[in-house]
Amino acid sequence: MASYSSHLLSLLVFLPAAAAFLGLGARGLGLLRRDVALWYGSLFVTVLTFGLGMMLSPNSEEKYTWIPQLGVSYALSLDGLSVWFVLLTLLVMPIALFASMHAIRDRVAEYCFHMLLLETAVLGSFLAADMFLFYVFWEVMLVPMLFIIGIYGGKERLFASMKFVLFTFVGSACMLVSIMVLVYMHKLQFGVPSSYLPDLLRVHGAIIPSRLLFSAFALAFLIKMPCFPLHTWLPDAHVQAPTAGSVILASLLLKLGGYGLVRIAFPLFPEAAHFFQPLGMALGATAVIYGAWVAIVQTDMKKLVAYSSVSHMGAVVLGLFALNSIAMAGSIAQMISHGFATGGLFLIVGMIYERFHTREIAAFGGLARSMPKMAFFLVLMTFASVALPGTSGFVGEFLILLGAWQTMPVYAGIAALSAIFGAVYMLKWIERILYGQAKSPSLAVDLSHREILILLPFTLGIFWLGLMPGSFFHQLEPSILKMQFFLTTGGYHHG
Amino acid sequence: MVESFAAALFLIGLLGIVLRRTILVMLMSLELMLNAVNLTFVAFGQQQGLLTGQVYVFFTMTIAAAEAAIGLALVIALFRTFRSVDTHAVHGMRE
Amino acid sequence: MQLAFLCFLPFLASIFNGFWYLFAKKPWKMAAGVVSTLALFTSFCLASALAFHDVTFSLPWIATGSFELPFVLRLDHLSSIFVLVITGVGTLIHIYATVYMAHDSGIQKFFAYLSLFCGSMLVLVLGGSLPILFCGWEGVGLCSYLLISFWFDDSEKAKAGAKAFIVNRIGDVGFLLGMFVLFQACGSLDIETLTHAQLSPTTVLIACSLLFFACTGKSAQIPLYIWLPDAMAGPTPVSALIHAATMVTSGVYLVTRLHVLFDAAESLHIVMATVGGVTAFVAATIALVQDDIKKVLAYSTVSQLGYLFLACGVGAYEAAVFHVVTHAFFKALLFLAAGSVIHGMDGEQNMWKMGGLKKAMPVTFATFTLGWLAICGIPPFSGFFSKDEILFHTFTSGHTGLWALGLVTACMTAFYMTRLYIVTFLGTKHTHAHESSWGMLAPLCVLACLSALGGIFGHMISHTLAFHAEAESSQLEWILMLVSACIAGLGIALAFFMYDESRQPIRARIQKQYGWLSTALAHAWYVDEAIDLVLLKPLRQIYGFVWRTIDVLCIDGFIMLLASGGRASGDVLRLIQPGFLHISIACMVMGAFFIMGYMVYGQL
Repeated sequence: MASYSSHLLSLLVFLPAAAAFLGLGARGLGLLRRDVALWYGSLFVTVLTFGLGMMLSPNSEEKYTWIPQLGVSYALSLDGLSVWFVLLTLLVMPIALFASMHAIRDRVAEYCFHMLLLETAVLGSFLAADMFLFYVFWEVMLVPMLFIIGIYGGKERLFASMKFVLFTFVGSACMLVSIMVLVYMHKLQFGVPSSYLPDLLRVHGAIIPSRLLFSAFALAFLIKMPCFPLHTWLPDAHVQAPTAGSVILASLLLKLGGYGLVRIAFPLFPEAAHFFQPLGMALGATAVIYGAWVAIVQTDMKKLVAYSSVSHMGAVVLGLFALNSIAMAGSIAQMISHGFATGGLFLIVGMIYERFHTREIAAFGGLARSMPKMAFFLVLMTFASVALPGTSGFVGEFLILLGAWQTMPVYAGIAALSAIFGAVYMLKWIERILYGQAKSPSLAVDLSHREILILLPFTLGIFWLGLMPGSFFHQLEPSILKMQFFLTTGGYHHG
Repeated sequence: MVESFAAALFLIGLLGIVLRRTILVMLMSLELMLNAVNLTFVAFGQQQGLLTGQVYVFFTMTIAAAEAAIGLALVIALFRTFRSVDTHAVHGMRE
Repeated sequence: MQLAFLCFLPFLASIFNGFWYLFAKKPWKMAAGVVSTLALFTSFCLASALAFHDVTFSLPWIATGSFELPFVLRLDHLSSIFVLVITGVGTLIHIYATVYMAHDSGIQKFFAYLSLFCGSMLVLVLGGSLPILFCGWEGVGLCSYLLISFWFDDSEKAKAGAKAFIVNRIGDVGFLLGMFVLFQACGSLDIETLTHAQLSPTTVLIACSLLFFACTGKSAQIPLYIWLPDAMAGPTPVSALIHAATMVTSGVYLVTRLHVLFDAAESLHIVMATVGGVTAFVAATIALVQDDIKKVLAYSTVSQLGYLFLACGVGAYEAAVFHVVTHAFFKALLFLAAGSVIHGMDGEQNMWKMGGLKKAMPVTFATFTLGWLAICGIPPFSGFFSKDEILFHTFTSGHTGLWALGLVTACMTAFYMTRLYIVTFLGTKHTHAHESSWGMLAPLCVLACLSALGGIFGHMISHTLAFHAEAESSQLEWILMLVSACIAGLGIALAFFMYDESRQPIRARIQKQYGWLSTALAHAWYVDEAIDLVLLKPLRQIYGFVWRTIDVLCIDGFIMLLASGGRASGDVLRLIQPGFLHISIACMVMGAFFIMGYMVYGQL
């Protein structure tokens, strides 16, 4: 079983890509002519990948040498930290595919191709243990996303997708330079270049260069998160993207920023992390309030949810830069919770759009009367977003604020105000659309069984993380402890 | 002596590219330059008694063949767009 | 284990009703009420069985690294009292609501929310550590939002719910920050640990001030009381349960639960007592001129809650708990009776349109009378004992000014409640209102008995709580009791004098002379308008400003500037291109020659 499980990770990562090419090729050869076959085929592949993922055991690793002259290895590893992100990915992809079945009508083959390729790229990013490999997957992730937004999106889709790609690219370019410097430094200090992450953790460097390198990494990850003030690509991307694209963007792509900070930036440069801690926490706290304030005045539903994402990821940044174990655990819980809650919100917004073909809040009213099931899910997701105890949002927010208070009470206090402002925009939104008099009653058809099925996993996820997070934190603990080791003792640099 | 002949061929080819207006003739001059280089490689290899020169000729010939194919395809595409094989007619790059 | 059942049964009922509402709309909707009532009644039985024992229930919940937050429920004497009140009075209100809401199309949803509320309230009261208490705290906030905006076809009602939730949330920020301060100082948020920890006076003061701020939100004190009057938009059983008997007492519960900490925060005492006293006074003034039955009762609730914090401020925690219990009895009674009246009058809530209901609704009248006497503080009814104890402790702890304020407020309470009583029930106007069914009247009767006889609980409460040593019953106490009774009697007599039908001209004259005052009072001292002007309008400007100026103008503008800069430089640079193939070739060849020449020249 050992050799089998050691290949499971690669199988997991590349199965969707292989299926993607197969599907496209089959369509090109005229084999899978009906769209339905492609949909269900892709759905099957994603569910199969999910099944494979359930067979994973944490702390598995796979490493082969790839380009010895550059020190690049092909290394995938799964530990308590990445397992939750991987599972989130495996859960979100089938749901996103299932949700787009009715929405995407033409160019279905390319759509399935892009989605499956995206799954591979995201899984690869979460599992990569080699910096070069990580960078490859990070960049590959942009291409299918560009096409998904650019082909299947709204009116201004080309602008939004270009903005998204260029924004992320700037950060990635800086990150690439940092990676190359690190590889070179490893060569200087140990004789051979290597981009394998555990090897790079042994590199020691002077203070100023390591701060610069950290800034480059942080830039890439903060753009991805997104953190104020580098967040303006997100509202445009979300508004123009199709529903499934938004769900994937919110639930998965945004998590990569946080994951990158925890996995790569902080362990490599602990001193720089401490140096930039005030700035990071300030940015996080600002983002929390800023996102909430801007969300209050939005008239487009998707933009409102997009800015709420900015607010939540600001809390994540705050928690991460607090650099203590409570806040870090809270940040990771908040990231997973945000994946559930905001993913669910985008799904619901998509369902509303499919019926009414508008996203303007002012055009709605009285939906709770005609669509009680949707109202239930919407209220649930909303309150999970607002960190109501019992939902996953509370677990994340509470731990973040508790941990952040230990380090810098002022910023934690500011971020706590998000309890008020979050409630303001969320309640304003749902009050406008759910309550009052109905505006277009004939279009308000309640959720079908398929749609309830789509929303169910996120709902269960919210309650699981909110009421029984024991297993979550249990898996996470070794990684958090390792993180603390790096941050407090400076890792291997002084050992 | 062969080397100077090859150099002269190269020069002829170069002048052909710079001075001629027809794209097809420019391609032929390019081939002439490449073959001149081939000749130089073989001549110097023969002079030094090594086979390295002839090995390089293999590479160059392959590349030349591939490049000729692509070049001709480009000429056809160019003709379809600009309706002419005169280089002075091809001036879209500035705008 | 039974403790867990006690706490979670209402949640199960809520989930059951919720599923029923969403997925199977069968007939027999009234059974939803029965389900919830049975669940809560079972909880009540369990509570009675477990009462006054020390029981703990613990489940692991969050555990990360060294930080542990188990889900702990703890029953002791203090929480027993509250649990009994919640489940007992709650069951009565459930029975009432089953009949009251029988014809509503969303009855299952209503009882799902109501059960969820009771469950959250039980979590709040039984919570063994502050975060668990906070979970219940937020849960009741959520349920009050859902229940206040239950009839959401009217956007005014929907907005009232949002206002309640948001104002509560402002207080919750204080709760969170107070928790963080305590955690940083003590390392644990378990209530047992906190009460036995050695904390510096500053820490305790800061934490308790923050927690008190949270209490002003939940228990409707100045400055966060503004949600309670608007919350009357919800159905009457909601007002009775949430805003009379249970949720609004959460703040008092928190203070009493952490009374060891609050005792140590010396400077906070006078603040708490003053806030309580002033709230009681101001709310009573507003209640003097309200025309809507429920609004009168709402402001009276705010006023009585002020008494509770006055008691806590002077250290009379047992008196506060006693008043919580009696207030639950008579305020729930008053609200339910008001609901009966509104039901009988087919939805009319303005008391000037009523009158003479004594004959038309005799049982309601009788029960309301008992509740009226209790709230006015007439001996030997329960309200008298509890209010008197608070005033006694206020006087003996030296706060004579606050005592006088409390006395004046008591007088006003008697006055406006009698006003309500006279205008609604006495006189001869309406006789065609119909009496409510026995489903609604039975709880009223039970509550009436409790309001009348509840005075006996006082001794029991201070005996079981045993926070401070019991003082001897002194002569001063009897004198003050007499004073309180006389003041109450004075208020009632004044009201009878003013609102007798023959005194209309006197009233008209007073109205003309002091019209400005009565308008100000009718608009609740224009507090809502002031907040809107000073706080909300500028905030909205700020939000718009942040969006338009910072996001669109600065950040996006900067990005667009970079983008157009890139494009502009491209426009300039492309002019370098000759555009002609032959020129490019010539340049390339010349360049090659230069490079070669340079290399050859270097060799030479």
